[in-house]
Amino acid sequence: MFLKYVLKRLGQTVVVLVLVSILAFSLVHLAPGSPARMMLPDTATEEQVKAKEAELGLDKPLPVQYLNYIKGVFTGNLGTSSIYNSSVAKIIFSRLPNTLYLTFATIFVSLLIAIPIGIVAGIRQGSMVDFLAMFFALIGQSMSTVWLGILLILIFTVKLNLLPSLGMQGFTSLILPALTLGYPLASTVTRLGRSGMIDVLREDYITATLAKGIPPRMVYTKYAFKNALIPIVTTVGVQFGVFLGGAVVVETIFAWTGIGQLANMAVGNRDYQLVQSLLLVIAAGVAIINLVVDIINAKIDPRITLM
Amino acid sequence: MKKLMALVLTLALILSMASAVAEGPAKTVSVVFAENITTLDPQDGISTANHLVNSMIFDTLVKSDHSGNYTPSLAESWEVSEDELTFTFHIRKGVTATNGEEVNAKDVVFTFQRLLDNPTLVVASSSWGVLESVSLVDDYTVDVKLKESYGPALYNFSGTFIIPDEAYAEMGNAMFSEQKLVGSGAWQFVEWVDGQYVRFKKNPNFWDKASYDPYYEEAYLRFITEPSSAISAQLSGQVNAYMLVPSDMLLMYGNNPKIEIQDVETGTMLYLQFQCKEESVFNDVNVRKAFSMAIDRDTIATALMGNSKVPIGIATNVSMGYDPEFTSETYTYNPEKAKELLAASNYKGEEVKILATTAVTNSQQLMLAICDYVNAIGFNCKSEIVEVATLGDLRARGDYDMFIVAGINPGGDLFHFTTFRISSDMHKSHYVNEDLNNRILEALHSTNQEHRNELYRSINKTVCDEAAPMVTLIQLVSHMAIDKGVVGVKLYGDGILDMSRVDYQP
Repeated sequence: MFLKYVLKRLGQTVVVLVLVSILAFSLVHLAPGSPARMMLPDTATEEQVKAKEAELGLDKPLPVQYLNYIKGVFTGNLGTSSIYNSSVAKIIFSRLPNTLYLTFATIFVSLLIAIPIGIVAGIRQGSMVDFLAMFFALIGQSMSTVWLGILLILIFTVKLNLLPSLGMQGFTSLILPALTLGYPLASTVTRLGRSGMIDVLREDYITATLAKGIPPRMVYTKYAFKNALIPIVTTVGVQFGVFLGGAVVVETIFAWTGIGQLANMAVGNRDYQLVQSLLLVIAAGVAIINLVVDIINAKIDPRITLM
Repeated sequence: MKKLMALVLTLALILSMASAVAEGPAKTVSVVFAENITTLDPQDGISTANHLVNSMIFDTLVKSDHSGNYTPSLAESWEVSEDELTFTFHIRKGVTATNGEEVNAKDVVFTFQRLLDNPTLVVASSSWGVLESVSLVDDYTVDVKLKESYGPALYNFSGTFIIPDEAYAEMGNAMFSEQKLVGSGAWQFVEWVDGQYVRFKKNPNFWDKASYDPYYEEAYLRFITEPSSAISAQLSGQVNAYMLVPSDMLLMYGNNPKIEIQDVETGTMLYLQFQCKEESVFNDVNVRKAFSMAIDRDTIATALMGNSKVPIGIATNVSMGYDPEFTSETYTYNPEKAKELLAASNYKGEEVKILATTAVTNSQQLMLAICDYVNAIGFNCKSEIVEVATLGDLRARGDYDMFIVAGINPGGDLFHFTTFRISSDMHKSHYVNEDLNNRILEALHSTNQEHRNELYRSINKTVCDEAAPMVTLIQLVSHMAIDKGVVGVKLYGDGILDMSRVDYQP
């Protein structure tokens, strides 16, 4: 049953990727203006524009262009970036580790903060701890990351001169971007953890376990928390995909050279080949992460495979 | 005992502070620019950021003052043949590259031959279509022959960086792709971290140490796109200078006593181009002049564009062809006269539209203000923001009434503006003036700078008198935020940025 479920989800992922590739290809090619004209200086003649179009294969019918692109994807050739004049695959994969590094750090920070707060808030529903936890979560969910990022820079860099605000120079450079990205996620996880714990703690089996004299700490961590985990895993998985797609704003604010900053630059410079491939790589990342999340959830709660 | 300890500690503190003062600031300087570089090949990138990096590492034959004048650099002197086709450069002796090889005429020949052999290199395709051949006369003399006489040739020479031939022979393009750059400039390349920075160290064997031996041992060019991040980095001391600070972000600096804000008049102009084809309302010179005279440029410059300047025509105070005495009726705000001209024209209230993109500073407000002014005298003018690529297509087809874009005179030379935008009519204005085009061609092919200057003055006068194919609106002022004591970070009138002579002067 489990294998059948995994294969079904895998099939869905492939369909999603094919649709995304068509969508990315169409969006880029249906955008107004000629990509070739954008790549050339505005002094370029019509002949130079036509020659560039031929060089890029843009003079061929759209289905042929799409098939050529897909052929390239399967052979690892994502084309040439017009702004870098270099392999798109090389550029993207040189930046991907930086985004992964920031993503893992962000998720680690978020979970480290949010899970204990969520559990305690759920156990002590209605207490001052619960109120403070929900206040923390409400602010985090309401705050814009742009504003939070700049606020953190002003406090920790400009006023206190404690942390660097730009670049990737060791562990300290990671703290502010990870906090900026992580706070909204921590808020969501806190709320989910709290409500999950409240729901689970109302279940009969928890009452029965407590009645048997098993220490509450063990009941909360071993029996209750496991069942409260499913929505958290799903949310973290989705967010992982989003961060993988590049936290454009945060990477731009903190000059973090990841996929998000690259996407920002590619769009700004109308580097169509790079934009198209970034969309595909990001979508593939999100789809794969979702697949992994579904598999983990099915492991935690085997009933999911029956749906 | 406690008093003794306190005394010792105080003395130690004073001494450490005194030594810090005596030593001066850190030996590393960091300068921020928003735009990333995308290549290290000095012949395959012509962006402002690429120019900034190349001018740190490499030398050029001549140096431009960016207002149309040139001085020796790697070439001690040069002369032009009678037929104006051959430039003979006499190369300075005693110049060595960072790998130890001597930089002489052979390196110049190699550099230009590489451009001839690789016409798709950006510098070759954008600047050296006129290059015929290059030949070695002796170890310190080189002849560069052009296909036709070409006025802006010195401008092109000032932007062509000389690559040491032996280093290239040894490494080939790996010199650029594997970050092993060798040059003879004041700074030595260390590393490029894409999207973050380029790091340089002082070239200990720089040939012109007598005039430039910087205090700093290391320099960074950092790429930060987000202005608030760049300003925060400067306020916290992580960087020392921020080039091109957006006007609306200057408030973030407050009255910081350690940072100086420099306002630089650049030659970047916003101009409005008319569609002058026969069926267009702007085919009539009276309509064009009425439109131009109805706009109060001074108010727009002050109220909307951060205290910018108002140019008269396409020649600015930082370019060739500038005449400080010159005035033009077309550029004088005179709504009454504009109404008269409009009444005398064939304009019957047809709707006309201005197009612009968000790439133009305050484009929406600027267009609204212009529409308000011209509608007040009887025009029926609308405005629209379009995508950059859309405007590119519309201009290529000549499918517009008017558009506003930014333009600049590279090297302070009007050849770019006049040749591409007027005589070649690359944006399909359909304005034709044979006499004007002949003067543009003459200025393009003359190598006599004084004669060219005269020609550009007369060309500018005609463009103003005819209000065609464009009228300029605003000459932008840019801002640089530089830590006090840091010198040599410059923005020139043609928009070129330079930090190759960065230094510390307390």
